[in-house]
Amino acid sequence: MFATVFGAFRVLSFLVAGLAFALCTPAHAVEFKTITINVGYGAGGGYDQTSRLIARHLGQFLPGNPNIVVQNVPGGGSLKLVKMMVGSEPADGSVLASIGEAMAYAPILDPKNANFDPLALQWIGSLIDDPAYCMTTKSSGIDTMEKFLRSDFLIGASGRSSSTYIYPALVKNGLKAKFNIVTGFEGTADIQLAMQRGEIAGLCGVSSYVLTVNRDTINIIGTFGEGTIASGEKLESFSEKIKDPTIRQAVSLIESSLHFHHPLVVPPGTPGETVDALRKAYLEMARDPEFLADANRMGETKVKVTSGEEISRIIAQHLKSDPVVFEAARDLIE
Amino acid sequence: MDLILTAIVEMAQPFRLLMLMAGVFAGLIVGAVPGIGGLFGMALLIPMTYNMDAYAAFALLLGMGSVNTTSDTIPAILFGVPGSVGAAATVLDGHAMAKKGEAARAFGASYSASMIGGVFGALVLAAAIPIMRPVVLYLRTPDFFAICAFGLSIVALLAGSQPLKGLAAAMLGMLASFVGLDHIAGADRWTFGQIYLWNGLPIVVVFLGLFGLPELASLLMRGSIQGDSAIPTYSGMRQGMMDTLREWPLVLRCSAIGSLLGAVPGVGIAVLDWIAYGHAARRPGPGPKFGEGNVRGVIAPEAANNAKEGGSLIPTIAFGVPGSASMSILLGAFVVHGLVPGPDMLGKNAAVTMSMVFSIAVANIIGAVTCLFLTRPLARIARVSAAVLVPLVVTFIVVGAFQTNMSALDFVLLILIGIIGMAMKELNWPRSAFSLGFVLGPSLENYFFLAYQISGWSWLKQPLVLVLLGLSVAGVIRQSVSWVKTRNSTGALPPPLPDLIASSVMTLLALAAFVSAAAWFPFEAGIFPMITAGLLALLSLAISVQTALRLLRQTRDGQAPFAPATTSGEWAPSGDGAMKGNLAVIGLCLALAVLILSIGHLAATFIFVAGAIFGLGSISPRSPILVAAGTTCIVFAVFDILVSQPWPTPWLAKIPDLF
Repeated sequence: MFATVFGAFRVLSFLVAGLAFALCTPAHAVEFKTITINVGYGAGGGYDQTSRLIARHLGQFLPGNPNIVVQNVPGGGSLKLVKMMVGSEPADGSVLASIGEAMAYAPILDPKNANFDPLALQWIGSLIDDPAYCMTTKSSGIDTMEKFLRSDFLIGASGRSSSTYIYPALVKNGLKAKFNIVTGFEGTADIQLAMQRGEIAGLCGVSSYVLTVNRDTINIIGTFGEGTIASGEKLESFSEKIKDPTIRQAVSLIESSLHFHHPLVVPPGTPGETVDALRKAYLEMARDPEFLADANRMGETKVKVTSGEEISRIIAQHLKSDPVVFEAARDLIE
Repeated sequence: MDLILTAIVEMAQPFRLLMLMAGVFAGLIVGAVPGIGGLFGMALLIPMTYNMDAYAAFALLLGMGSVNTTSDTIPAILFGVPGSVGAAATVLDGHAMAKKGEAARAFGASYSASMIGGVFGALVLAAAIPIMRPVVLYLRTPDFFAICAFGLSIVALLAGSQPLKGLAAAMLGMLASFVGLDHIAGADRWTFGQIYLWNGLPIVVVFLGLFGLPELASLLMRGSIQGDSAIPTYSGMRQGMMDTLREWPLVLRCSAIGSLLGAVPGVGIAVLDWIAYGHAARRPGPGPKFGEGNVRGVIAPEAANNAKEGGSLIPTIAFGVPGSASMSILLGAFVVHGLVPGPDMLGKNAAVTMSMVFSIAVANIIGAVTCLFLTRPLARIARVSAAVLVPLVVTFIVVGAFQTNMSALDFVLLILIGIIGMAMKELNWPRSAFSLGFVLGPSLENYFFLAYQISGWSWLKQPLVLVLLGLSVAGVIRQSVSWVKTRNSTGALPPPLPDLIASSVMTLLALAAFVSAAAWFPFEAGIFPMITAGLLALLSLAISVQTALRLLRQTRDGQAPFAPATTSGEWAPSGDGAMKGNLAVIGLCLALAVLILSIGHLAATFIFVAGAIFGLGSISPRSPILVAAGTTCIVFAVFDILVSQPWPTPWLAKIPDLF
């Protein structure tokens, strides 16, 4: 009698232990169910397209082969989404966000609106690492760096927070260039059309794709960040012309985000294993020939991945700069 | 000619035709459901086209994009709820016709006008192929400003029987359009710390609230769409088609307006349907006044908004500059299929371009014919009891509004705008003028600053600018003269006391807007809001004074009887029962909003529809459950399968997480 009770107790304890073990294991081996990628921009744009591309491929590299859906959360150049990620989204890997790279320095450049810690966001990886360029129309006659900096002409830009404004502003304020920046265009295509009509002469802060499409009708003046163009011409870098060390540091801070175009992040407080699994899957995906073939169809996307660790390192390094550098950076894009 | 043949041969393949049909049917559904437009449908279809060839892909996408302006008239005519933003102008006369038992005629007229407009737009695109690049390059930024200014001058034609109120309503609409981050200085204007407002007031929610909710309130009061119980005549459909054919010059002119303005970036579908409507209103022709169910008021915007698709492809194909928001999504498809907008589309890839023309034309024909077949059952809805219809339509409005941002603020805004819309409807502030101001405000401001930054003031000397601005001024002057002539005619006026309260509140609001813009906005961001708010303050002050005098006269002469029988034009107050109906509709919206937030959109739909039909007095206890189940299935099919998207977790589902 006692033996049977004891035996039953032993069986029971095994069961409990087994159950406890079964309950605990998932906490160690990360398993993903459905994942949502929130996009900080409207449907159809570049960020939306790269996110949908990633959604089609990333799942197969994650444990549990999760289904990935895309949702658009546009607003304030993805600041709205960043605030949601910092504030209310679950930190368990079920929600990823595709945000603008400028968000990394938004708390420095726009402290009034962006009060969050960019390093608290966990960076998973980014798809594109590409310098930005300045170009002018052939008909404008502005074909050298010297003329670009000393002539009086117009450059087209969309909103104040877009790269088409930030980069020319950097040249105008950092190198005391004479051109004026016309804001309010809808987008890059709109600006290029105004260039063809002869209403404005140039455009800054665009990727190499824009250059290759219009190669016959434009002059390429110089670059932000390191890089050459397909034809192999060596281009002058704007930041190297800046003498003042503080301003130069400020420019390098702004330019550093060019290394992580189209980044993905997860909310602060996401468990380390989850972040690691996502980062690992992201890199594996980026090496997958099927993914690359799919990405090539999108034309604009020349995949050059930056890992999540590297993004965090770049941001951390620049956030350590002297507050005067931040001040200078704010003045540059004023 | 060879080109056309090649395109037809390419398109004659079964799979491509099948894709075209699939696009058309998806587009019809998306158009008929309020809240989701073709824009959203296209974004969802794009990934499906990755593995198709270019012909099939564009057949699917253009099939979808071409016909949602055909079917969006269904809720516009039946319920006064625009199915998409391009159907707002159709509401005025289309819904008025349905109320008079002419729903079938309105459908017949609108579909046939849509079809002709759509095919016309496709032909304009085809004809423009050889000349599109020089034409697009000819138009400069100042011309775009002048086009928008000309569009705004149409307000004078929409201003109704109390022109001051029409102008004030337009200013209020413009003021509302300035909410959000501005493009020039990046300042936030009246966002009250809400990121929700950064991108401005969402136009879908604004139009649903402004037109949909007030019409539902009066539907609830009337008992059914059609006031009397006469059986609707189905022969009306043929009559409507004959109307369209008889009005062929108007159809062609409005198709031209739609396709040409469709090619102007920034002048969206929401603008051009009002411009076409205003154009038709200039010569009302025989029949009732505009706003009271004049068939020309249905034909004009419908021809224009279907013609737009062909027109807006012109700058997209020629330069890669999207002529409309859905075109920017289509551009994504260009890239996927290795097509570069520009000269190649007119040379090497001209067959693809021609196939787009073909797709648009065929889609419009299929779409219109499909809708014509549906007219009989749809016209019958005009006799269904409001107790059943109102909960159904409220569901689609509220769910449709919610899916624009998935935020509780969608509900708040919908109800607020709904209240404003109800007040405007009762007090003769034309909602059409508000809409025109709202859709044109941002383009006017943006193009003005672009033109000013590029060339100072010298752009005012450009020929096209001079012509367009001259035409606008002439139009306004002519209209003002006719106002002065008719100012002493004694038409019906709204009751003076609420009228006075509303205009005084408006004056204060405008002053507050003016002061806050002057004090806090940077100059570039503040100047347009200040001008608009200043004009609004002056206009509403004038209205207040006028109304106060009327009130004084009335109290002195004893109580003058209020006679709503002879109201004219767009103004159609519900009169004494208005408050009750309005409160009921707002209550229904609130109830559904709370249900959606707490138990999710599907369960909420079921409980709400069943409960509301029961509460509003259904005859049998069984039908509410059946209707509710049916509605829930439709909501699920449309918002979870067709345009699938993750819905936020309801409150109740979050409760277990708290423990």
